[in-house]
Formats: sequence, C-alpha cells, structure tokens
Amino acid sequence: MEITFQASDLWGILPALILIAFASVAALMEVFARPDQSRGFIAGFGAIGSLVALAVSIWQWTGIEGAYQVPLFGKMLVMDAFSTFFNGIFAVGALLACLLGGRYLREHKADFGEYTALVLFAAAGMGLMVQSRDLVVMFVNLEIMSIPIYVLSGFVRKNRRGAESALKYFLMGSVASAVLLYGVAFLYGMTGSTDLVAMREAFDADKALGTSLLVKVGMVFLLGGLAFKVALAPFHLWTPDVYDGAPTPVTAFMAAGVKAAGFAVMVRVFAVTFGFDALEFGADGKGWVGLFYALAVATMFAGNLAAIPQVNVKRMLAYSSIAHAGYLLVGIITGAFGDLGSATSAATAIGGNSAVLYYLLTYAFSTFLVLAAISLFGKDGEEFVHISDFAGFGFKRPFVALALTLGLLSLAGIPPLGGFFAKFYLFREAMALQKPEMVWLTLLAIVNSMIALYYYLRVIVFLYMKEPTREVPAFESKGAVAVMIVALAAVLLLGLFPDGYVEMARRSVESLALR
Amino acid sequence: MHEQYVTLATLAVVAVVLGGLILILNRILGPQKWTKSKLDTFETGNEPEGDARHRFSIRFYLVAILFILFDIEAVFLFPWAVVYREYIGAGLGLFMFMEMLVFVTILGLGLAYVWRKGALEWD
Amino acid sequence: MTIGLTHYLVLAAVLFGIGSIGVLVRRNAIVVFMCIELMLNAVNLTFIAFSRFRGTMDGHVIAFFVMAVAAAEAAVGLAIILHLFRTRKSLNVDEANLMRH
Repeated sequence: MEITFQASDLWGILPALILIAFASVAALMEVFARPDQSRGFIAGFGAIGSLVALAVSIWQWTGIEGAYQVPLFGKMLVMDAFSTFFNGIFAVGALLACLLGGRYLREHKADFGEYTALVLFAAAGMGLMVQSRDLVVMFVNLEIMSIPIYVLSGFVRKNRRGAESALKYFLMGSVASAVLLYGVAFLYGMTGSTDLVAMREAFDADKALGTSLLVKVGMVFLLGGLAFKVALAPFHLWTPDVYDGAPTPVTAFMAAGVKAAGFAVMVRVFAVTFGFDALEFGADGKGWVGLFYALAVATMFAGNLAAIPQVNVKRMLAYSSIAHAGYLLVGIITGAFGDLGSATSAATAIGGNSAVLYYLLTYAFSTFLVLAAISLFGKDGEEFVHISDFAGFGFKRPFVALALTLGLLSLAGIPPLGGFFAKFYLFREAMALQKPEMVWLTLLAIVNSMIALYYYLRVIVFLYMKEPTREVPAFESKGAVAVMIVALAAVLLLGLFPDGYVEMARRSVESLALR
Repeated sequence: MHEQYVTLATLAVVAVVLGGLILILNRILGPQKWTKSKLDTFETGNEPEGDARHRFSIRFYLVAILFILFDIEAVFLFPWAVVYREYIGAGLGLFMFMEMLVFVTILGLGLAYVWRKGALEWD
Repeated sequence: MTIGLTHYLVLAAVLFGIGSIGVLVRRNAIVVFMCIELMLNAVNLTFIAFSRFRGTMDGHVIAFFVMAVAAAEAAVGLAIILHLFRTRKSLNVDEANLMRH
C-alpha cells in the first residue's frame, strides 16, 4: 500500500486552503452576526483573506527557480510557476470582487455575507482547477468554481433578471459539465488514465491512438465543455443573458476569473497533452487546426457583430468578452503549433501561450476597471446600464468617468494601455509562425479589433458629449474607488512597462514542460 | 453461441402467452361486480385520505435539498470504513483517521451554518 | 454472444443521447434538470465500463466523485428553480425571457 501524500503537499495548495478557510469563516460570521448588522465587515474579512492568499502566491513565486513542477497528492495536482501565476490572478479577482461587493449589495438590499464566502470558494476552485494535472480532479474543481457562481449570478433577489440569469447559467453550465465529463470518460477509456502526462505518454507510445474515433469524440467533447466556460462561439449564447442579469461585481468576477481559469486549463491541456503534434486528426493534425480556426473566427465575429447594436452596456460588454475569447483562441492556436518538450518548437509554444497569459492578466484588470465604474449605477435591485444613462456623466463624476473611459480604451486596445500591448504581443507571436493561414487569422483579428473600437468609443461619446435625459441614481463607494485605483494602476503598468510581466508569463509557460 | 438465448426466448414467449391467456380467460369467465371499496385506492389497508396530488409545503423541498447534500457524503464514508482496518495494519491508522476528521469537520461547518441560518426549523 | 464493453458504451451513449434530447426539447425546468442528471449517470456508466475493461479501480472512484458533484449541483439547481418559481409562478424555461428584447 503506497501513500503518496506528504505534509509538504499542503504548501502547494496553500493559497486555495487559505481561501477556503476564510470562506468557511465568512459563512459562519454571516449566521453568527446580529441580523441588523451591516455585512460590510464580512466583505472586508474576505478582502483580507484574498490578500493573504495573494501574499502566499507571491511568496511561492519567489521560491520558484527556472522551469519547475512539483507534483502534489500523488500527481493529482501540481504546483508550478503557471499555477502560481494564476493563483495570483484569482486572489486579486477575489479581492476586487469583495471590495466591489460590499457597498453594491447594501444599495441593492442584498447585504448577505454569503457573497464573500461564495466568491472565495469560487476563487479557490479556480486556483485548484489550474493546479489540476488529472482531468477528473480538474472537473471536480471546475464544479467548485461553477456552483458558487451559479448562486452568485442570482444573488440580488430583488432583481428578477438575476434569478433568470442564474437558472440559465445553471442549466447550460451543467450540460456543459456533463459533456466535458463524457469527453474525459472516452479519453480515460482509450488511454487508461486521466492524468494529463500519462495520457501524453500513451499518445506518444501509440501514434494510431490519436486517430481513433473515441479519442476524437472525447477531445471534441472536452473542448466543447471548456469552450462553454470561456464563451467560444457557438457555445456563447448564455453569455449576454448571464452577464446582464448577474450583479455587476459578479459579472466582473466571472469575466476576469472564470475566463482566466478556463483558458488556463485549455493552455495546460493543449500545451501538455494535446498539441497538434500529439494528435493526428486528419493528415498532420490539420483537422484539429481547421476546427480551431473555425472556432476562433466564428467567436470573434459573433462577439463583435452582436455587440454593435447593443444599447445595454453590460450586454455589450458580454458580447465584447466573447470577442476577446476569440482573440485569446488565436494565442492558443499559436501555442498548440509548438511542443514544449521539443527543442525546435518550444519557442513557439512558449510565445503563443505566454501571450494568452499576458492577455488574460490585462483583460482581468480592464474588465474590473470598466465594471467597477458601471456597478455604481443602480439602486434596489435595478441596474441602470442603458447607454443613455451614462449621458453627461463625464462631468458629474470625473474620476469614475475617467476610469470607465480608460478601461474601455484598454479593452479596445489603444496605446499606451495594457490592452494594446496584450493584443500587440498576441498578434506578433501569431505572425511569427510565418504560416499563411495564421497571417490571415491575425488580419481577421485586427479587423475585428477595429470593429470593436466603434462600440467602445460610443460609450465614451455618451459620457462626455450627450445631454442626460433622466435622473440616474449612482451611489458613492470607497470600495469601488479602491478597485478602480488598483485596476487603473495595473492597466497603466501593464501597458507602459510590460517587460517584467511578459517575463513572468513566459516563465509560467516554461514551467509546463513535461517532467 | 446463441443457444442460451433460445431458452430465454422460449421462456419469454411462454410467459407472455400464459399471462395473456389467464388475463383474457379471467375477463371472459369471471364475475364482475364493482363496489366502491373495491375501486378505492389501495393505501396499505388504511382509509385513503385526500388526493394524492395535493401540494406539498415548500419546506419539504428545503429539507430534501439538505438531505441530498448530507446524504451523499455517506458515499465517501463507507469505502473509507471498509478499508480502514487495512490502513491500521499498514500503520497509517492515525493518518487516515485525521483525513476523515478533516472531511467530517468541513461537513460540520456546513451543518453549523445551516442550523444557525434556521433552515432546520420547521416554522 | 457475451456482453462486452461495446454494449455498455452503446447503452451509455443512448442514455446520454436521451438526456441531451430531453434538455433540448423539454420545457419544464425540473425535467430539464432530470435529463442533465441522466447525462451524468450515462457518463458514470461509461467510466465504470472502461474501468472494468481495463481492470483498474479508477473509474469506480471517479463515479463516486461524479455522484457527489451531481448532488451538489442538484441542491443548488433545485434552490435556483424554487427561487425562480417563487417570483414567476411557472417552471417553463421559455417564459424566462425578461432579457429578450
């Protein structure tokens, strides 16, 4: 009988453990606090928990040297630079969501401490999901992430759209989980393992395995489940309703956290196990490439074209988040052309995937910046997010309007903000492949970025150049201001001094190499 | 290869024919006198009370939801209990006990939350 | 003829298919949810069939975890459905259309 558990394994999952501990205590604080007491202090407690988790992630990062990977709990989980990078992002996401949530929930008469507990649980799930080396453990953690978010999207009970958004997200999310798991079942059956590294070894040992029907079906199902979580077309139809109906802080947490976690898993799966080299679907893995191209192009256009006519800013941002998923997929494709284990193509894999990481980092901060500003508009379960509600706001609340403007410009990819450099880096890596089809894909992505400019700028036009038509309630919130300052600083830093962060992203991807 | 299925098929045919024959004969030959007590719903010999399709209190659903959650944890307790003796033999008894203790503690936290939240109160 | 791996896989695929068709055509949220459970159980069957076929225990353990996850999903799902029913007095998912403009 062999037990592959050591006490030191706990160090590897410490950020998640901290988040879970704080979440449990937050839930108990909610029930043991006086009923008439404001729950702001629980949100503050959650923010402290996220800060501790962030500090631990940074501490773990400083202990990491070169490309390294520590298997934990009998190779179920790993700790590497990659997972530590994402643990940091999720801790920041939880921190910002807690800061944003406190006042927002009080204004909307949904002041419950469960918000904090659920946010922290979801963040822990995201972190463990990225640390998973085993696909079933990944599935369990996917659910630990998803289930709190189903609840959070219907958290404001006075908002009837919230209940609807929760139901839609729940039903469609559960179907996606089942599909993903069915894919895992097939891959398990064909390779005899759910461990990503063992699966890769099985594919390398038997080249015919990659072409078998069940592996193809399994891969398509696995990809479909992940595509749902990150909102790739044609699995994106839930996004606008859920992003619109969910409370704005939750929308921000979803856009920043769930998307990052989903893409992180995609990077791990496609960089470690199923690169285009490992699986031969059609000749030379071309079939896979074609599938990915189709997904990327469909996602970019589906997002951007649907965003143009939107007058509801949250819906517009939902469609724009779909478009961003399309750009990110370009990076995944670039990375999947390379193979981290090979001497010749490792550079391609590192370039493409680290561009995805950098993009996710800037996207997280840009969305938080925009949605923190938008979350201030509303009262008693009703959010005022029609584009005309922002008219004339630019001079009434200059700082909030400035944050909103810069956030939108960063999403649009205007220099010198973070969004610009992220796009630039991503497209440069795609072009560096020197494949004609990648050049075309990049050109399509650039065209799409230009289309996107239209609907981002339109909000700014309303902010500064239109007269208000009705009185819109907008509350003051110190938490939201703090979020905006943090996110603004991050977006500027990521745009002006990208080198250090690019290096971080590259080191993270390098750590994924098999050992 | 298929011989064993012949037996099965024969049995199936005989069962269907015999069953059908008895039902039909009963219908043709038997006396048919329906009374109220014969037509009533059979409820283990008790007097049936009310309509079976009445609405349940919403509290049943809450209890049911909580029941599912705490009930499914037995799925993890049972295999642990089955192999625990082997772990003691391997000198890992304390370790496995601590593992389960952590699991049960987390469940306990959940129970404390539910209890204080008032979800276990009936009114 | 002996019952082999293929039979179980086909059975699971049929169950999964029934589940997914149910999700697509049924309109009652509870029934949709039951269909999702059916899909998850089809996956369990696949895991256990493969586990038996390969002679490892992994699939059995996985099935336990899937059951636990399904229970957690069921609890949250039923709560969400109940909440929607309280505000809407209907379980028809087609009537959940506040956001369709």
